[in-house]
Amino acid sequence: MEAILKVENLAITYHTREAKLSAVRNVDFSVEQGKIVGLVGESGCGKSSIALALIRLLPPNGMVSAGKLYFQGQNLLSLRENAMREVRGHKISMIFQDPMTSLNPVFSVEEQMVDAILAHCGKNQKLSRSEARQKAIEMLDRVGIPDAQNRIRDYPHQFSGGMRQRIMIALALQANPALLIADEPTSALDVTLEAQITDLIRSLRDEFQTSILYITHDLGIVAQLCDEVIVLYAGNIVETGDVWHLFKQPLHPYTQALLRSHPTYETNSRFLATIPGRVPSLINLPVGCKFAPRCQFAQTICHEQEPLEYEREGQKVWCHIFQPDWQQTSEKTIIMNESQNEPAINLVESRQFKDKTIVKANRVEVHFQENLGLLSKILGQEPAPLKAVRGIDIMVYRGETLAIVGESGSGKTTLGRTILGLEEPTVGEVNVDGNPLTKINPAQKRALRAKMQMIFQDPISSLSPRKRVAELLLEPFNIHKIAVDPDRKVSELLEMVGLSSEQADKYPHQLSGGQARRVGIARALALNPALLVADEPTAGLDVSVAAGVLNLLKELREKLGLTYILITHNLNVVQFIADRVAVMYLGKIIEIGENEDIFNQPKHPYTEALISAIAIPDPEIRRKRKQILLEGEIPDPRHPPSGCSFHPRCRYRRERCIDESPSFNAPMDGRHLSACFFSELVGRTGDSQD
Amino acid sequence: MSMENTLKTQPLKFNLERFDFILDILRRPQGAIGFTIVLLFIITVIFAPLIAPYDFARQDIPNRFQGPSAHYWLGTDQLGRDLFSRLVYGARIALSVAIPSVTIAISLGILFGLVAGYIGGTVDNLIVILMDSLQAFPSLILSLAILALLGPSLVNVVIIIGITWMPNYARVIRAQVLSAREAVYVEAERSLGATNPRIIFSHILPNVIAPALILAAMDLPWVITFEAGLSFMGLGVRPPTPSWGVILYDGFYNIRLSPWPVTWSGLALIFTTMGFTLFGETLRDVLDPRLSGTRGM
Amino acid sequence: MLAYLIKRFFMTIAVLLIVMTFLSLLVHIVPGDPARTLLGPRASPELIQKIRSAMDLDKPAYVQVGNFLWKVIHGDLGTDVFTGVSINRLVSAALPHTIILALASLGLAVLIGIPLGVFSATHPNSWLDRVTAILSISLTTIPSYVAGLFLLLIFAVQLKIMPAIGLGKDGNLKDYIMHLILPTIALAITWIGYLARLVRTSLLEVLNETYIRAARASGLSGRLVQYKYALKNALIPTVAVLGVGLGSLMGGAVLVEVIFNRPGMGTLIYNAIKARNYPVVRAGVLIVACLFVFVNFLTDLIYTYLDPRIQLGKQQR
Repeated sequence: MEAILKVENLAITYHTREAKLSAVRNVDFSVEQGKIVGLVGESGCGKSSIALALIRLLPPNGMVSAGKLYFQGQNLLSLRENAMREVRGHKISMIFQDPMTSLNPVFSVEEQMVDAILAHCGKNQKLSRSEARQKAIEMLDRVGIPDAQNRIRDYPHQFSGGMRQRIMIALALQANPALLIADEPTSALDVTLEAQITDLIRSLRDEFQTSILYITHDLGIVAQLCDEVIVLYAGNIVETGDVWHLFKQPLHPYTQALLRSHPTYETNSRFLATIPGRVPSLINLPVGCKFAPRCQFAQTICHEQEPLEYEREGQKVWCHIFQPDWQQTSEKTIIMNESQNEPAINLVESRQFKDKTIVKANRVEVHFQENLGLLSKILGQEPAPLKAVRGIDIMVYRGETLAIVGESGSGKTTLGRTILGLEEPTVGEVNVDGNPLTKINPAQKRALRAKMQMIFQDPISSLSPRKRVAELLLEPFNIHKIAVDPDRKVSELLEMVGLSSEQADKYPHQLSGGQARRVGIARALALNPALLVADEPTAGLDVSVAAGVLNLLKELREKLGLTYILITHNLNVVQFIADRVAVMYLGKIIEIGENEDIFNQPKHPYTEALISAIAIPDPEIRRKRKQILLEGEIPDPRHPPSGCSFHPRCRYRRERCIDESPSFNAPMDGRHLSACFFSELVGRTGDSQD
Repeated sequence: MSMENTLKTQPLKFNLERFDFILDILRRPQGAIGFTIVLLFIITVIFAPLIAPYDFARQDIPNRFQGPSAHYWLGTDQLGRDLFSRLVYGARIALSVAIPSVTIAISLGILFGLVAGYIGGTVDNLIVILMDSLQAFPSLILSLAILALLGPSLVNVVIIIGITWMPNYARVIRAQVLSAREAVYVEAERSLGATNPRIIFSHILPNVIAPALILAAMDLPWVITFEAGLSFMGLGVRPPTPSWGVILYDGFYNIRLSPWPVTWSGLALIFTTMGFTLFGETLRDVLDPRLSGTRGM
Repeated sequence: MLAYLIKRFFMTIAVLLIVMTFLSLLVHIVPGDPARTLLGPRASPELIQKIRSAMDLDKPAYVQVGNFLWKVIHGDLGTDVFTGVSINRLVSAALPHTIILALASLGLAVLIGIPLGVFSATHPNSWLDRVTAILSISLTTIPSYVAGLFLLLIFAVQLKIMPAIGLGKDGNLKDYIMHLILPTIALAITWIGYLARLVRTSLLEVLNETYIRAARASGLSGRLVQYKYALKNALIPTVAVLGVGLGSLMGGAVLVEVIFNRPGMGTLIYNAIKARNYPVVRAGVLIVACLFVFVNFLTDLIYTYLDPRIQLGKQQR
C-alpha cells in the first residue's frame, strides 16, 4: 500500500540562550493510507515536536536540522510558505491536546470555522460565507454537536471540554484531509468522554479513509485504536511495529518496562515494574543508546555506540541486544524479568480489617452556595446551590484501601475533603476514629489532624513554594510542637519514600513531579497518621514514575498498617491497589463493593460503562471486549436529572428511573451494593442487547 | 507536556537571599545601563557635599542666567546659583521623598491587602470600595487638593504620596493573597493543622511580598517625578530647598531669559526615571517573570 | 447582562458618594478656620461671617455634606465665594478644553503606539523592533510636564514656529488646533511608549497561544491570524489600561495646561488652589473624579463587549 507520509532521517533542534538542544534524531517512519499510527512516548521525548515539524509550525527557536518529510510524494520541507499553507488544514490537519486552549476565546465557533473553510475553497469553487456556514453546521452535526444550527453562534467557553474537542475535530476534518495528526486529543478529558472521542476518530477514519498519526502517552489507547505503533524515547525511535506484534512481544527493554509498569488487575498482588531514573534532559544527552543509563541490560557498548536497527517480521527495534556481537550475560530471554523488589507479603491474607471502622459518614451532604453580592440577593437572583455531595453513607475499615471512583463533577474530592474535615458537611455527620468532626472544637480538630492526612492532587503546588524540602518535612512537627532531631528526622522521612538526602535542600520547583509527590507523601506520613486520603496520586505523572509512586503507597500500607481512601478516576490504579471500591456519580455513591466483585460483576450501568472503557495495554483483550459508549455528558451538578440521576445516559432505563430515585436495599456491611432498579440486568443483558 | 512547554517554563528564581540575581541583571544591556544610572544617582545622593562645587544656596547675582562654563559647569539660575550644585542636592531631596513615601505606601498596602484578602467578606468589600474611591481621583489632582489645604511641606508630600500610592499595593497584595489562599499548599498546611496566623505569616506573606517589593522598585521613578510635579506646581517642596521640581519651576518662569535651568533639571529627571525604570524592569524579569507586563502608573 | 449593568451602576454611585462626602469633609481636616485662611488675616469679622455662612461652615458637618450632595444632585455646583459667579459656568467653560486635550492625546497615543507595538511584535528582533524598544522605553520615562517644557522651549521660545500660550483667537478653528498641538504631544508622549510596549508584549504572548497555532494549522494566512485572531485578544488588556490611562492623563493635563496656559479644568483647579478658593476646588475635583469614574464604567462595558468570556459580571474560573 502506498505510504501517504514518509519521514526520513528527521532531526529537530531547538536553539536556546544556553545551548543547541537536539530534541529529535534519526526518525524514520511512514504512515499508510487509512491507517492509524500511534506515536508513543513519555513527556519530553519529542512527540509534539515531530507533529509540529510535519506541519512546519515549530516555534521560532526550533528547526528541522536534517531529514526529509515526504507527503504524497512531495518533500514538505522544500515547499514555499504559501504552498505549505495550502497543505495545512487542507491536506494535513491537526488536533491539539487541550481543547480549552486550542479555540480562540474571543471569536464565535461560526467565525472560526467559516474562516477555516473559506481559506481552502480556492479560486475554482468560490463559496459564499453562508454556504461555508452551512458546511460548518453539517460538519458540527457529523461530529455530534447537538443543535449545531443554533449553537454554532456560541463562543468556545460556552461548550464543555468534550464538545470543544469535537469542534476541533470538525475544524480539522472540514476539508477532508489525507492526514490527521492528533496530539493527545483525549488526555484532558474524562474517561467516558475519552471513549466517545476515540470512537469518533475511528469512525471518521472508517468513513473518510483518513490516515491518522495519533500521539499519546497512553498505551491503552494505542492498543485499542492504532494499527501500528512507534515508540519514542528521548528523541529516538526505539521500536516500531504492528500493534498486535508489538504488544504481544515487545523487543526493546524500554517498551517492555513501559508495558510492565502499567497497573492492571493482574498486577494487584504484585508490585509494578519501575524504570529507575528519569528521561534524560536534552542539555546533556547520554552518548550511545539514550536508554542505556536506565536499562538493566546495559553493557559497555550501549554507553558508547548508537544501536543499529534490527528487524524481525516487520517489527523494528534499535537495541544492541539484537546485534550479533552482544555478550550473553544471563538467560537469553529478557522478556520475563520480574521487578527487583517483589514483596514477601501476600496481600489477600493480610486483610484482617472488617472489625473496626475508622471513618463513618452519615447522610453527608455538601452544598456550595456561590458568594453573592448584596445586590444580587436583593434582586432575588439566587442560583441553585451546587450540591457536590448529595447524601452519602459510608464506612471505612481500619487497614483497608477504599477507592472512591468517579469522573470530574462526581463530588469525589469534596467527599474526601469532608471526611478529613477540610469541608463542613451541610447535612449529616462525619465520625473519624470516634470523634464527631462537626462537634469537636477547633483545637481538638487540629490535634486530630495529626491522625489523618491528605495527599493533594497536584504534587508541586501542594508544597509551599518558598520552603526547602527539609523545612516542609519538619512543618508537621513544628505545627504540633513535637520536638525531634531535625536532621535525623528529615533523612529518615526521605529514606522512607525513597529519596536521597540531597533533596533536603531543594525548593519545590526544583523537584520533578515524582519527587514532589514523594515529598508530599513523606510529609503526610511524618506524624504517623492512621488514615491517608490520596487525591489522584498519579495524576500528571508518566507511567514509569506513577508506577513507582503506586508501589511506594502499597509498600507503606503494609509496613505502617495505614488506611487509605484513594480518590481517582483511573480504574487501573484502583484495580491495582484497592480493597473496596465506591463509584460516585453526581454526588452519590451508585455502587460499592469488593475490588474483584466490582470489576468482574459490575451491578450498575455506569460502573459497567466505566469498566468497559478501561485502558488495557493489550490489543487482543481490548478489541474483543465490547466498549459501552455512554450518550451525552455528565449533567450540570447544579441541576441533576430527576429520579435516578444517571437515567439520561443509561441504556437500561425504564419509566420508573425517570421519577423514582433508587437506593441501596441492604444495610452497609461491606457487601456488593448497587443503586439501580435493574441491577440484575446489568452485564447479563448487555451483550444480547447490542 | 510538549517540548515547547518544557523549554518555555523556566523555574522562578525566587531566592532573594542569594545575590547572584545582580549578575543576571548586569548581563542584560538594559539592566546594565539602568544599574549604572541608579548607582551614579545613589553615589550623588551620598556624596553630594563632596561632588557639588558650591553651596546650593550661594548667590552670585552678577553672574545670573549664565550658560555652561568652566566656572559654572551647567550655568547659573536667576539668582546666579550654581545649577550643577543645585541638581546634585536635588537628587538628595528626590530620594528623601521617594523612599519614605514608597515605604508608607507598601506598608499600608500590605496591611490592607492582607486583611482584605485573607478575611474576605464584608471587610474585604469595604476595603475594596475604599481603595476604589481613593483611585477614583486622579492622584495628582487629589494630592494638589489636599496639599492646598494642609499647606506644602516635605512631610506632607511624603504622607500624601504614601496614601495616594497605597491602593496600588493593596490591590496587588490582595490579589496575590486571594490566589494564595486558594492555593493547594495553603490547603495542605491547613490539613496539617496549621493555625491561621501561621499560614498567613509563614506561608502567604513570603510569597506575596516579593511582587510588592518589585512593584516598589518600579514605582520609585514615578514617585520622584510625582514629587517634582507637585513642587513644580508650588505645592511640594518649597524654595530654597533645591528640589528638581523647584528648579524646573524657576526655569519655567524665566524660560525666555535662559533655557539652561529647564534643560538640565528636565534631563536630570528623564535620566533618573529611565535608569530606575530599566533597572526595575530587569529586576522584575530576572526575579519573577510572571509579573511581566504589570506596572504601577 | 442587565443585572451586571445595574450592579456596576450602583457601585459607581457608591464610589461617587464617598468621593463627594470626602470632599465636603476635606475642609475639616485642616487645622484652623477655612474662611479665615481663605480671606487672609486682615479680613473683617463681618466678611468672614458672611463667607462662613455662604460656605455652610457655620453648620454641622453632616448638614454641610447633605447640602452639598443635595445641590450637586440638582445640578448645582455652588458659587465662587470671591466673585459670586456660578461654578457651573466656570466648569462648563473649562471642561470642554480639557476633554478635547485628553481625547486628542489619547487618540495620538493610540494612532502611533498601537501600530508601533503591532509592528514590533510581528517582526520580533528586527532592527526596527530594537529601535522601537529603545524608543518606547525612553518615551515612557519622560514625564508629561518635562515634555511640555521642552516642547515649549524648543518650538515656541527658541524656534518660534509654534504658538505656546492660551487657546488661540476666538472662533478660529485652525488657530485652536495649532495651539492644541504642543500640549497634545506633551501629554501623549508617555502613552505612545507605554502602549507600544504593552501591545508588543501582549501580542507576543497571544501569538504563543495554542489557538494561534491551531488557527495556522488549519491553513489560515499569516496575515489573517496576526491581525484578526491575535490582535483582538491582545487588545483586550490594552483597553483596560486605556480606561485607567485616561484618568492619569487628566492628572497630567493639569500640569500641561498650566505650562501652556490653557484655560481648562487643570488651570481652573490650580488657580483655585493658589487662591484657596475652596468651593471651586471641591467642585473641580468632583467633576474630574466623575469623569474618571464614568470612563472606567465605559471601559468595563467595552471590555465586556470585546471579551465574550466575561458575561453577567462573572469571570470564567
